[in-house]
Amino acid sequence: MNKGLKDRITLYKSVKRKEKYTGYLLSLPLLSVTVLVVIIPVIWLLLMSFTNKTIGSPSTFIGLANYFSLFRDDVFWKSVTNTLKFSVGSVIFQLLIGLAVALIINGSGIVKLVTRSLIILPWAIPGAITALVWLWMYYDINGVINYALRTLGLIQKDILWLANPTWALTAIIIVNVWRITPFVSIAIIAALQNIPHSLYESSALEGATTIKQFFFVTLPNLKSVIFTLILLCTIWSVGEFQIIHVITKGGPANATQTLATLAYEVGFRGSRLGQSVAISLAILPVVLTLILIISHFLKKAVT
Amino acid sequence: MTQKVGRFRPRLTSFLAILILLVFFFPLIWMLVTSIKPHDLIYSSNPFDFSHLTMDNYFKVLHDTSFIRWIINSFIVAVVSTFISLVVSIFAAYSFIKFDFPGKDSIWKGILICYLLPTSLLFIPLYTFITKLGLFDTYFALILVYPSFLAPFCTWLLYGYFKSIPSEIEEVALLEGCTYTQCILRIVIPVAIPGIISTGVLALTLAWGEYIYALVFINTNLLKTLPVGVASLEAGDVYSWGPIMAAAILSCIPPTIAYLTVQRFFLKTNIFLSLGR
Amino acid sequence: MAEINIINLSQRFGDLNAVDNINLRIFDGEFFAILGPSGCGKTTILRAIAGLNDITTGQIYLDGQDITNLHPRDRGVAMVFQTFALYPHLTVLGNLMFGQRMRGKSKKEAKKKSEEVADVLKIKQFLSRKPKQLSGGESQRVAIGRAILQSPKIFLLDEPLSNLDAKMRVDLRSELLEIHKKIKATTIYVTHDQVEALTLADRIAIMKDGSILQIGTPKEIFDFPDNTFVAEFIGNPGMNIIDSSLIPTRDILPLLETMLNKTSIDCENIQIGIRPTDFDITTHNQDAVRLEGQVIFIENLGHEYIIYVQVKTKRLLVQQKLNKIPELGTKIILFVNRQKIHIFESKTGKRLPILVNPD
Repeated sequence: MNKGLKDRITLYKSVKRKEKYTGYLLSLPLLSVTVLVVIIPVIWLLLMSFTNKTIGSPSTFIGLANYFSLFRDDVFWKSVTNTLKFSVGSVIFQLLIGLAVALIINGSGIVKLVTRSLIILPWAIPGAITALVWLWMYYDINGVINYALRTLGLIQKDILWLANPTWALTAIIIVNVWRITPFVSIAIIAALQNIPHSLYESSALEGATTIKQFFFVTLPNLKSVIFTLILLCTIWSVGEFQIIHVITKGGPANATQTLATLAYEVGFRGSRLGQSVAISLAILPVVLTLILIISHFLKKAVT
Repeated sequence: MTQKVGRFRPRLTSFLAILILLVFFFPLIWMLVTSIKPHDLIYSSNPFDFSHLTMDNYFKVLHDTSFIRWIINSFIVAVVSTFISLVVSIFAAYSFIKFDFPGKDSIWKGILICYLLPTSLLFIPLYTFITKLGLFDTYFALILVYPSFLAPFCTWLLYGYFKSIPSEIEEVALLEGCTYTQCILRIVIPVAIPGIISTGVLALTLAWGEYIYALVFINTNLLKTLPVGVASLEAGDVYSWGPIMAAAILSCIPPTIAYLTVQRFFLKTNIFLSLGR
Repeated sequence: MAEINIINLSQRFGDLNAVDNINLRIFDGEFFAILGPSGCGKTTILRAIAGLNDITTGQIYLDGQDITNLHPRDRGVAMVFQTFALYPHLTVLGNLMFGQRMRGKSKKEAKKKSEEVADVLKIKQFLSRKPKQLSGGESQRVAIGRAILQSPKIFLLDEPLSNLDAKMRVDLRSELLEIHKKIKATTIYVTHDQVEALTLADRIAIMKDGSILQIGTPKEIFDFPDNTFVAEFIGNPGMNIIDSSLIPTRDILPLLETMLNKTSIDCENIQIGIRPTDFDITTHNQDAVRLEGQVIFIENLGHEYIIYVQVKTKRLLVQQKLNKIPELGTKIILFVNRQKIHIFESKTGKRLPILVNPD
C-alpha cells in the first residue's frame, strides 16, 4: 500500500509540473493553423509585393515598382475611395438600423419572439446566394424593385441600378446593409437582455422618461458591444467580396471596384500577382489600424 | 408580469416587428416566388403575375446542372473542416481557461487579430501555396484553409461557453475518484456537448457560405461548392432566372434548418458577451 | 481513525497571504467548524485539505500519513460545495452513483446504496430528475448524499447552507447533525454564520485575515474569548468592548489591580468586555461596576429589548427583559457584576488572564 501511494504521489506531482507545458501543447494546433494559414501568407504578401510575379513564371525583385505604378493608377485610387465609401456607408446604416431593429423587436410577445428567431436568416444564408436574388431584383428590365417603385409612384423611369455608376454603389451598399444588420441586431439584443431590469426601474423612479432611459441606461451599457460591432462590420465591409463580385463585378466602369475586387481582377484575370498583392496590402494597414483603435476604446469602455 | 417600466408601446412595436420581418424577408420570398414561376411569367412585364405556377425549375436545376454534386462537395468540405476546427478549438479553449502559461494573453490576442484579417486579403498568397503543393482543384485545398477562420471563431465561442461551466463540478469529480483525463472525458465534455454542438453548427454555416477561397481554389465545375456553383449559373445567360432561383432556394434550406435548431441556445447563453475581451 | 494534522500551512496568491502559518489539529470523529468573515482564508484551508489548491508551504497529515502532495482522489476526502456542484448532465441517481462507479463498485451495488441514502435524505422521489429541476435545499441534499456515498474518512463542507433560504437552513442544519452522529466521520465545516458553528460544532476555530485567532469548544469561545475580535464577533449582538477610561478611575482601577494581581496598571492600555446580556439596570449592587449613559435607541426583539446606550464616546448595547421601557434621551445607569467582566489589552486585543477572582 505504501509503495502504491508513493507512486501516486510522484505521478500527481509530475502532472502538476506539466501544467505549463500542457497548456502550450493543447493550444499548439490552433497556433499552428493560424501561423500557417494566416501569418505566413501575410509575410509572403509583403515579400511578393516587391516582385513582378505572374502566374506560372518565377518572380524577380523589382523593388517598389509595383507600388509606384499603383499610386499612379487611377483605378487603384478609385478603388480606395470606393472601398471607403462602401465601408463607411454600410457600417453607419448597419449600426443605426441594427440598433433600431434590436430595440423594436426586443420585447415579450410571440410576434417579437418569432421575429427574433427568424431575423438572423438573411445573414446565415450564404452571401453569394442572397446576392444572386438581389441581382435579379435589381434587373433594369422588369426587375421587381423598379416595378414596385414605379407602381408606388415613387419614380417615373426605371433606375438603372447596375448600369448607372452612382446607383450601383448604392445598390451594393443596400445589399451589404441588408445582410449584416440582422447580425448587429442579434448581438445588441443579447447585450440588451443582460442589462439588469432594476436599472430601468430605479431610473424611472427618479423621473426618467423612456427617451432619457435610452440615453442614460441603455446606451452606456451597450458601449462594448457597439465598439466590437463597429470593428467587425468595418473589417467585413472593407474585405467584402462576394456581394460585389456576384452583383456588379466591380463595374460599371469601376464604379464599384473595391480593393478586394481589384486584387482579384488584377491577380486572376490579369495574372499580375505582384501588383495584385500590393493592392491587397493596402487593405492590411487599414484593418490593423482599425483593430488597434477600436480595442483601445473597448478597453476604456470595459473598465 | 405586467410592468409599465421599459415597455414602449408593445402593440406598435409588435406591428413594426412584423414589418421588419417582411422587409428583411422580401428578397427570400421573392426568391421563392421566382423559383415557382414558369419562364414566360418570369420575364413578363408584370412580375406580380402569379397566374400559373410550376415546379419545373426545380427539376431543371436538379437534372440539368451539377447542383447535386455541388451540395455533396459543400457538405464534405464543411463537415470535415468544421470537425478539424472543433477539435483544435476544444483543446485550445480548454487550455486557455484551465491552464496559466506565460504569453497566454498575447497568443490569444494574436489569434483574434489573425481571425479578423479578411479572406479577400489572404486568398492570393494562399492560392500560390495551394498551387505549389499541388492541391489546386481539390477538396483538400479548402479543407486545409477553412480552419484558418473556423478555428479562431470556434475557440472564441467555446471559450465563453467553457468559462460558464463551474470549475467546482470538475473538482467534485476529482474528489470522487477521477483522474484528470477521466474528468475531462466523463464530466467536462458531456456537460459541454450542447455548446460544442451549437458552435459546430454555426461553424458549419460559415464554412457552407464561404465564397472567395472556393471560387479561387477550385476550377472544375464538378468540384465546386454550392455558393460558387449556383452563382456561376448566372453567367453566360444559359439558365433563366427560374432555375437559378430554384437552386438558390434549395441552397437556403440547410443553413436555415441549422440556425433554427440552434438559435434557442444561441440567444440564451449570450455568446456575444464574450465580445468584451 | 481519521485525524488531521496541519502544520505550518501557508498559501500565497501573488503578493497576498491568503493563509499564514496555520497549525491545526482535528480529532477523529469531531465536528470541527472554521468560522470567520468572508476572505479570512477558511475556504482556502478546506481546499488545501482536499487537494484542490497548491500549497505554498506546509504539510497536511491524515492519520500520520503525509497527504500534502497526494491527488485529491487519493486522500479519502469528500466535499460539499456552497454551490452544490451537481453534475448537470446526470440525473440525481446518476449523480449519486457516479462516485461509487469511479471507485469500482458494480452498477447494482451503487444503485442500491444510492437509493438507501436517498431515502435517508428524503430525496428518493427525485431520483430520476435532473439537477436543474431541483430546489436549493433538494440540490444540497443530493450533494450531501453524494459525499456520504464516498464513505470518506473526512467530510469537508464549504458553507453548505449559505445558498439556501432561512427555513431550509434551519431544517438542514439539524439533519446535518443527525447525519454526523450516525456516521461518526470527522467533519470539517466552514462557515461565516456563527449560529451554525456554535450549534453544530464540537470545536470551533475562529479565523481572521489568514490566521487562527482561537480554537475551542463553543462554550469556551463564548465564555472566554481570547481576544477582542472573537469577543465582538461571537454573540448576537457581540460583546461590548470599551476602553477602561470610560469607567471612573476610582471604580475601575482597584478592581483591575485585584483581578490582574498587579500594582501598576496602565489604564490607557486596558479594555473591558461586557456582554449585552450581562448588564443590569434594575438592581443596585454595591460591588458592581457602574456606568452612566444616555438612552439613544431601543429595539424590540419580542422576548427582550436591546437598548443602545451612549456612554461618553462609546455606544453600548444592552440586552434585557424590560418591564418598563425607558424613554429615549433619558439618563440610564448600567450595572455589571464584577465576575462578568472580561479584560483585554488594547494594543494587541489579547485577553488578560484574571488571576484573582473578585469576591
